[in-house]
Amino acid sequence: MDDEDFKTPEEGDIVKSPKERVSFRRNKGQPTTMSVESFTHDPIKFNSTITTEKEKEKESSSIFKSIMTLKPPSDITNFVVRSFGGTGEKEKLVEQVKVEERILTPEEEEDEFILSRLKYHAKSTGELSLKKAGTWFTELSNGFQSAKNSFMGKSDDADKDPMDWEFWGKVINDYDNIIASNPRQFRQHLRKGLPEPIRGMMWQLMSNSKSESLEEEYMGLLERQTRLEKIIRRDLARTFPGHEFFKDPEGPGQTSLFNVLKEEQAFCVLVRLMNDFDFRDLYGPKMIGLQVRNYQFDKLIAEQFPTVFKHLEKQDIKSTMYASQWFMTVFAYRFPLEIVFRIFDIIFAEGSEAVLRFALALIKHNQDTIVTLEFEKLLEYLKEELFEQYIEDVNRLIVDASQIKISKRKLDLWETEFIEILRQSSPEVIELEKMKSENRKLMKSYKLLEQNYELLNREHIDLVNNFIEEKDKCERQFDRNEELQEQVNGFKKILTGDRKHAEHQVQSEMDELAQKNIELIRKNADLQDHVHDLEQQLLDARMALANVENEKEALRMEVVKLKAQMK
Amino acid sequence: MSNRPSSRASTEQNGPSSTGGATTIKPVQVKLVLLGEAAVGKSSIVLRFVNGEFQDNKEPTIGAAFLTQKCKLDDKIIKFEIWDTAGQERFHSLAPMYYRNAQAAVVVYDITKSASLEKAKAWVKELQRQANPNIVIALVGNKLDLQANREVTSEEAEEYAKESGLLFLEASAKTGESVGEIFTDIGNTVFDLAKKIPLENLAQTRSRTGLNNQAGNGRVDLNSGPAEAQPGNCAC
Repeated sequence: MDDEDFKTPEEGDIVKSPKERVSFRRNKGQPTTMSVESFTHDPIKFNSTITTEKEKEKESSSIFKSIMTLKPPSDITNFVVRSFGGTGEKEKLVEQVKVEERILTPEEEEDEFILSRLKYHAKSTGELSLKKAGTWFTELSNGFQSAKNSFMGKSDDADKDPMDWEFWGKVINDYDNIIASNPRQFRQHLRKGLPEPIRGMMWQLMSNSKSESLEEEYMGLLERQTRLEKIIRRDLARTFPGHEFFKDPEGPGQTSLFNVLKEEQAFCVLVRLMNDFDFRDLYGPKMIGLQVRNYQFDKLIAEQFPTVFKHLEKQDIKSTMYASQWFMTVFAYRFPLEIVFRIFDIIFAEGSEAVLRFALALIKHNQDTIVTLEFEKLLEYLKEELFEQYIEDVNRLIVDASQIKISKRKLDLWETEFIEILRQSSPEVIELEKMKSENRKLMKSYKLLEQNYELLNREHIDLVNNFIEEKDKCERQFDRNEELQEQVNGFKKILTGDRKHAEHQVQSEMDELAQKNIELIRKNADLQDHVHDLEQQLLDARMALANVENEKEALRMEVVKLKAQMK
Repeated sequence: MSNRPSSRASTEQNGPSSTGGATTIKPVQVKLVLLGEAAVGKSSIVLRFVNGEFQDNKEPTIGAAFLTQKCKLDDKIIKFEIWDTAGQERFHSLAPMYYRNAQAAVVVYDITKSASLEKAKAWVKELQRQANPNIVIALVGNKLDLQANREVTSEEAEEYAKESGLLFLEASAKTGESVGEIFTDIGNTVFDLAKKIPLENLAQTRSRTGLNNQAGNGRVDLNSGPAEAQPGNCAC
């Protein structure tokens, strides 16, 4: 309930990155391996680490193979990342099987059913970059907050209408994960009706309507004139003539009705309803989809309420006479809008076939009256009064409808059967219609593929750029290596070459020195001899000097003696 | 088709109540279908005829609406069983189911929209090609109250109606002008026709028209109960 519930998720919450390892190899020289350790779905934000290690040489084409076979994360559960939707036959089969099982076991299978529906829509449609998704997410959070605030402000006793703000807050905050982990809780809340203030947001989430390409398309369409504007205007006043909100030609009801295709969000949801929920088939030029629905509906009544069926048959009442308006307007033609909204809640979760469950619930609930009425009264009753008993208790209608079981396999069978009948009566029409529908589906998958391709392409380009950059780095590194190696080799060469020369030189220098040394020693010896001689000579000289001195002293003494004698 | 007693406590405009006269005069059932472009006022004409009401901005009809109305014509009572079809083009494929066994058709256009007369002509062509060959067709120019915006002159439409052998009237569902006449004219013409063509033949030709033989052949069928009892009435 506090603000913490509404913080935007962190990047890491959104993207789960599997370990992907890809090798890039040079086609010459020493191999370089680039290993992408953590590879996220977002082409802009992916971390790569470069390591170099020794590897054998391989063909350069393997680089591109590796890039092209990069696999996107397979376990993405958050709604923001759903670009790679595989909606092939296999998945359809799986879905069918699930729906079939649902009839055998109740609760879990219904959970599965809801999940498979929602996942189907998630996979088949979304294309939203992280950045956009983030903005959308903030929008949702803010929208929820303000809806909650204004609601809280209005009603003084919140107990009277206990809306589980906490649950819905979580759902808005983290739609995919909450639904994936609590399908049953979601189902139970859904059956109580989506809370009015957040219904618009929830419908967008459930139909996964946010899409950049749709928004672009929408902006393009806005600028174009349509020759259908006249027809749209003609129908404005008579779409909900009985409903107060839509009565005033200048009022908000009719204005918004006119703008329904001029409101970005409504436009996106409408497109989803038409294409992904298959409503488009109902409104085609020949309304094949509607005829199929009616046929399925007849078969279902015959199967589940044979008494009613026999009575209707006896009264010659066809489902086209009363049920067309149910299926074409999702009950909005006569039913109060409060009921219609609730029915839409379920359709967004379970798909357009849910209308059949509501139609059958209405028949079931009124069967006792139906079998007593005759043609005119009966037709009027079917068209105008079936819902009367539910007006006071919409929840009961939802519960009743949820208890009607319909086999998807049979629906498909009946569809094929009916198309075959039509083909026999007017083959061209059905062929044309079928081709149109197929064309549309192909167009859809083409667009999806194109988007995926574009995304892949972008990723590819990013990867290639990255690769080229890294390769460039490696190349430079390699060049530098080679340069250094060369230098080393040069040094080595110089070293080994010079050493012998130096040794030789040193040897000869040593020899020379030794020779010199010997000579010096000899000279030294000579000099020593010479010194010795000189010392001897000095000694002799000193001796002689001493003798002379002695003689001199003796003489001096004699002189003194003589002097004294003389005196 | 089942022979089903009339269950509607009809709001009769003139003549004795059917319940009172049930033992003496059985109403003749006439199955009538309304065709025409979207928003020309088909439902409004029927609503005016059946309930004497007019509703601005009536929602578009989906599929078809069924209404009945009895009215007295001389000494006979006609019960119109009216299929008011949807005008939108996409419902076109369902139309045969409603007009296939109809004895009368009211093809409506809007006098303020010339394109709607073109669509009306297309309907007439289709009816003449694919419906009961003896079907009585009335061409009706609606919205006579909007004279100021008229795009289709009375002369133009009348001439076309004459050429094609149609009844022709201009009417206004809003004011009610000439609405009753549409149905009395049709009633009279159906009676005149019934004098010339035995109903058995009508039935035969009808069954041969089947363009779509899927289950939906209309429930209102002149060769069911009342019709068998009625040739005398019609011949008067």
